[in-house]
Amino acid sequence: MLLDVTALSKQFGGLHAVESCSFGVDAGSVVGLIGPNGAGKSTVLALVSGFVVADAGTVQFDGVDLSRRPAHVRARLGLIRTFQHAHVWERLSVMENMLVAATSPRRESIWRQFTAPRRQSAEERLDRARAREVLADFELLRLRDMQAGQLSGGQKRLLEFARIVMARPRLVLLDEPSASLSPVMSERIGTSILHLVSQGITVLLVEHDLPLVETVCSRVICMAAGRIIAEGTMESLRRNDLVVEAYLGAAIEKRATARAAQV
Amino acid sequence: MLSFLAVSLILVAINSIVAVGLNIQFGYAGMVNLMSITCFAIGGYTTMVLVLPPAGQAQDAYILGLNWPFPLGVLGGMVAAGLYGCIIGAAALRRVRAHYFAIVTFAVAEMTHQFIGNFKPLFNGPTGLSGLSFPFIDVVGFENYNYFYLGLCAGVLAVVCVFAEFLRRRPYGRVLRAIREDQDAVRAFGRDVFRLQLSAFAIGSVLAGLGGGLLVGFTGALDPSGWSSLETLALLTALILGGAGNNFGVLLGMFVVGGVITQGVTFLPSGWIPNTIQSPVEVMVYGALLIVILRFRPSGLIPEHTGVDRPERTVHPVVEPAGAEH
Repeated sequence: MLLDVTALSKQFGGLHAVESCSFGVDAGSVVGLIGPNGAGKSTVLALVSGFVVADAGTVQFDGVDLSRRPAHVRARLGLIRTFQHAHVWERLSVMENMLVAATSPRRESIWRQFTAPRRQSAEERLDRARAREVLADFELLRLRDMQAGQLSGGQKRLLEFARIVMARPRLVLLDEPSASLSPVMSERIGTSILHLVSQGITVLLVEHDLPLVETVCSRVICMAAGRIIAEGTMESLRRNDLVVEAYLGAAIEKRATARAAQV
Repeated sequence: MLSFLAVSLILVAINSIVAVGLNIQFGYAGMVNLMSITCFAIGGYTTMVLVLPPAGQAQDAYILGLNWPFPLGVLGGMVAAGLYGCIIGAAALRRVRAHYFAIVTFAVAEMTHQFIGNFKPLFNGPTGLSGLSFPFIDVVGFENYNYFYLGLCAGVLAVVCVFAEFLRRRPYGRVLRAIREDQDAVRAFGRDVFRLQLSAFAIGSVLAGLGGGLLVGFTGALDPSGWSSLETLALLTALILGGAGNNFGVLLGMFVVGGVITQGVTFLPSGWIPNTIQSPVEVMVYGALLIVILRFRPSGLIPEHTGVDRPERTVHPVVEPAGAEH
């Protein structure tokens, strides 16, 4: 098991945002994390990635206990997260975004800038070549000199995926990658997730777009009010009364009203 | 006249060194630092107490007084300014971000100004330090001293600019700019944001200290009125006017602010402004200029440019996907 989370808990003031959550993610799989707003999904991502410190519980990543490690150390070990809103570096070019993602922290030490310029530029050239290939995969190649802030919302999301491919993590935590995107774009996100998997990257996906979850996830975890209430295939969750009551019922209703509003 | 021009340019060059340092902190890494003038002053004072003889006269009081040669004194000033920047930076960067960081640095700048300005045993309090003889004067002679010192400052500025521009084009500068844009995402990609910010803060502080050291070499004196927070305003105006993030923009901005405006104000016909408000007029011009720039050209006269990707033909040519016309 690549990621093994045990009894993870977090309180904000009096609110139990996450209460004793335990789950695992197998290497090479895509696991979905669904649930109503405020269920604690994003908090789980923040706790696993180390952006928020857990009150209790452990996070084991490939057998290493990360519970006390800061976020950047977890990332260096191969555990990368994204955010609910696209977090691209806006006033860097698309290519620079890719290069920052690919560069190892060692190459950014001040001494390295002066001591090994030759080797630096050789590594940089390799990264650029690879970045062009990855950008081509995501149909961003011709935009590579543009400032990332000028991209459309969907393109920013694709750039985030492209950056992840550049960084070559072992596990990526995706926080609602299809939020506020068109249905067409959200399909593109689906293929992008599968592209990550084809690169050997394991995915933990928080998402409200259930058709997308159903297409890409082999296993789905459902949370409500800070707890995990069910776990299994999407098919089995649909037949689970707890899940239907806490989330799916509301989700189906919401989609029905949205459809009615469109008509 | 020519000599006066040289004096103006010396001051512009010295301020430009400080501004390039501030550019690494603010332009590259996005840290709004309102205490760079403090590091400048600490560099200046430290240089003086290292180079001056021990405090002799009864009314004077200062620490050290080691009779060091001037270049060593400047080096000591740089170290002291860098240390002070590191201490404040380490305390502030751990906990606060963006606006709060600016507030902390402003508070530190004011506190330091009050402390140094009133605590006599350290740097002679409100009177300040004076009596530093011109460095290398016995070699150069009085005749062409201003030109010599201008050459010295311009040379140091050139080295500083090359250093800053080199860092900007390297992975180090790139990751600092990424931190400026979105530090959470930088952390998510495995960077110790705190360490990177602290290193940039230290470099900027050291350069501010270098500026301070060069200033006291030329003026031979430094007192609290010489480094009020208004100087910080001048620096920031220069940065924003020229184009934060772009070193050439910073040089241009400093030339306009420190050269054209500061000196220009003194040339206004005496009837126009009473002498007593000459220095307020300068500050008012800065303020007005800031507003105009931020309204009409927020990225400055020479905006920062992002790196352009030039594919080399020899390395894996990548075929553009079909249908990807411009």
